[in-house]
Amino acid sequence: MLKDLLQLVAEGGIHSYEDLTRRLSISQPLLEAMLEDLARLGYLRPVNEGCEEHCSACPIGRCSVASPGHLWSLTEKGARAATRQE
Amino acid sequence: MATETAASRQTTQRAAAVLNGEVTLTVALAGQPNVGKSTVFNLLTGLSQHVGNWPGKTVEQKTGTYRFNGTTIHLVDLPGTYSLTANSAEEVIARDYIIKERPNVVVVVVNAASLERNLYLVAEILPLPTQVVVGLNMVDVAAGEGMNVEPQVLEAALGVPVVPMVASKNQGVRELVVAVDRLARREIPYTPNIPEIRDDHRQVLDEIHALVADCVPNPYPSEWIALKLLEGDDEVTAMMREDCLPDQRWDQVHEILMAHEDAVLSVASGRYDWVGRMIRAAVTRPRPGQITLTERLDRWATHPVWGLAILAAILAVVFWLTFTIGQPLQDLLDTYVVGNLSSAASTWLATAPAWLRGLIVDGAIAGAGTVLTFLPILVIFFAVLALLEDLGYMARAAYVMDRFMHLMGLHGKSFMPLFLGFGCNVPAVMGSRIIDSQRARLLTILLAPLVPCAARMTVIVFITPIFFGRAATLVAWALIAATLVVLAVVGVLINKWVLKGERAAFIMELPLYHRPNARTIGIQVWQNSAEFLKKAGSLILIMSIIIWALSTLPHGDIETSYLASVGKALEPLGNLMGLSWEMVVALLASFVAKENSIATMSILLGGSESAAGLDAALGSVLTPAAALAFLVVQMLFVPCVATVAAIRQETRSWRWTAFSVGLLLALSLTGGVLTYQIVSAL
Repeated sequence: MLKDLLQLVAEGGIHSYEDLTRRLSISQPLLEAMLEDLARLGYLRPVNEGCEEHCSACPIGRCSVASPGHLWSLTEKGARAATRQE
Repeated sequence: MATETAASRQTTQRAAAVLNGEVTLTVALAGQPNVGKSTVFNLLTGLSQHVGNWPGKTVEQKTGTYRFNGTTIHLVDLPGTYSLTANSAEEVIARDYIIKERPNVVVVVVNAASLERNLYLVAEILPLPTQVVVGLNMVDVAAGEGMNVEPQVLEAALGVPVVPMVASKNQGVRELVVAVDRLARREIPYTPNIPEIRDDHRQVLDEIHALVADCVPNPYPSEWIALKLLEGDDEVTAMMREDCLPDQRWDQVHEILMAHEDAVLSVASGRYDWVGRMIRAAVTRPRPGQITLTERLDRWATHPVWGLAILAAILAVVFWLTFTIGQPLQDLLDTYVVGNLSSAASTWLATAPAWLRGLIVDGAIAGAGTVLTFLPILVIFFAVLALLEDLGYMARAAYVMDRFMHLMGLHGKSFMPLFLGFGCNVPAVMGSRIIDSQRARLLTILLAPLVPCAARMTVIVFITPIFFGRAATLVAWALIAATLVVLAVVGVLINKWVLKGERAAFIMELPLYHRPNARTIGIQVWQNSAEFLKKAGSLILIMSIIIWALSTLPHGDIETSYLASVGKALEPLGNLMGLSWEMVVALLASFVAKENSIATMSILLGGSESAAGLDAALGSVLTPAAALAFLVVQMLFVPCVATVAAIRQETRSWRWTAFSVGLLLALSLTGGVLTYQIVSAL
């Protein structure tokens, strides 16, 4: 299941939770648990953590754009793992 | 994974102790934090609790006793853990207790409303040498969320007793104790459905098991040790390497582990497959109307083509609103506030020294005052963005734009920081820190100043109506679209030459659409507007005074001023774009802050006149072609000094900072000259 998820993500581009739950036939809470686990293992990386810290240094204060939900990116380790099994 | 049969397991479990005809059971309570485990413990043990610490740890240990039907249950509350992967002291305590103390039964309390996460812990406990009862707590919460969890189906799927409970209302707790008692007395069957490792690594697991089985110390189950080695569990690995396996045997194990460093994925996948099967069997989730609405809207909003069309339309509406509502408000502010203030100041300072009158009226009021009239435009801009964000649309905008960027061959990972650039280029540059690859980071930093920031948009909104009347919305929209095309082309070229077409991958959560909250939007608009006012009252005010001083010194005549000298030196370049020296200076002044170009124009062209006067003055010194060229240059020009400083800070290189400035200068001037020459020729 985790490998399937990594392979889907490694196709490149941006995937929404809806894309992934539909293609893996799993529920969103299960997907979320898997994403957190893959991040803990170093295959994914949470991207928008620490945004507030960055914004505190911004001269215009809080940005008026973009506060999406969770965002993850595939790490090099994740990309390697996905390719290895192809 | 664990292949022990139910029969063999019975022999590994601790038998219930019998003393003077009374049965004594040891029962451990396991579960994730906040699932109601402590509530169950408190309900059962009451005043018989003993609180101490786990041996050698600072983690609290709670034990107690409960008598039931001639059975004394010695209850141990294990620390709350999300898994048993030795990530924390709590997880090590929980698994060590189960393995070493071998309680008769482990009760795993799970949250019925969050079964996916909770069952993973069950999947890890089932292979351990104990018997498990699942306390399915919070069934009322799950029902309240529209979930239908069937305990009997879950029990059949898991092969272990499942007891539905609402511990907070003391419902089901007695039934839980009955199930524990009967299981310990072997009055009910126990045939656990234990998760299996995925087939692709089963053979590897068997190989490791064969190598370590005869060296595994008591009381650890050898198959569990082999599994943990394959998972890369630090504690088990250290124990086997340092205390148990001969060097040669460890080398063999290590070699296998190195060849299968991603085996952890197969182990965890086995558990997730298992959790997925349990959920599919026992849980149904009626789809609430809100999700259906979100999905229905997302069919359009995240569509590769329609999604982009909707985004473009929303952008157009934002500008239309800005022009239709913001422009008249700006005129009112200009006439009744800045104009009256300017007249009043001129009257009050009629007898004051000329330099003081010039500084206040022609410098501070004409410069910073004019910029202040942008406030209505910015308020509308901030309000619409805040509304879209609170509605949940901005994440969709990011989603469709990223797909668009991939079509252009751009590096997708650059998108999020670039998107922030629509507010301000500084966070766009600083946001590039999220990118791992050094080259991709550099590309993002180089592209960030090409994102039209809010300050540049105000300049567009100010100038386009003067020259393009009703077509102002279209021209503003086209300028932004053209800038984004330039960004895409530059990105494609750099991506092709520097990044060799590397493609990044993202997973993005698209939040549910929801009714916007007026207070949230109000706070955001207030914060952003307050920041703008602060900037107008400080940086722009100071720059206005400096520009005025440079336009006055040394002889009090603008035509012979220092600023005129600089502007006139650059006028030949300006002429290629139809720009007078004043407009060239306005461009240079925008280096401090983009709004400064308007303040500078106001000082150099409008004098003590209000923005209405500036409109007329601009109309007399610029042709529409020159105005368009000016806007093109403004959109592509070197960013403000704060952004350049951020570029230096993030690249840690003056060379790349200079490259960025040079690239943008070349792009903007080329764009300006081409625009003027082509439009003039039409």
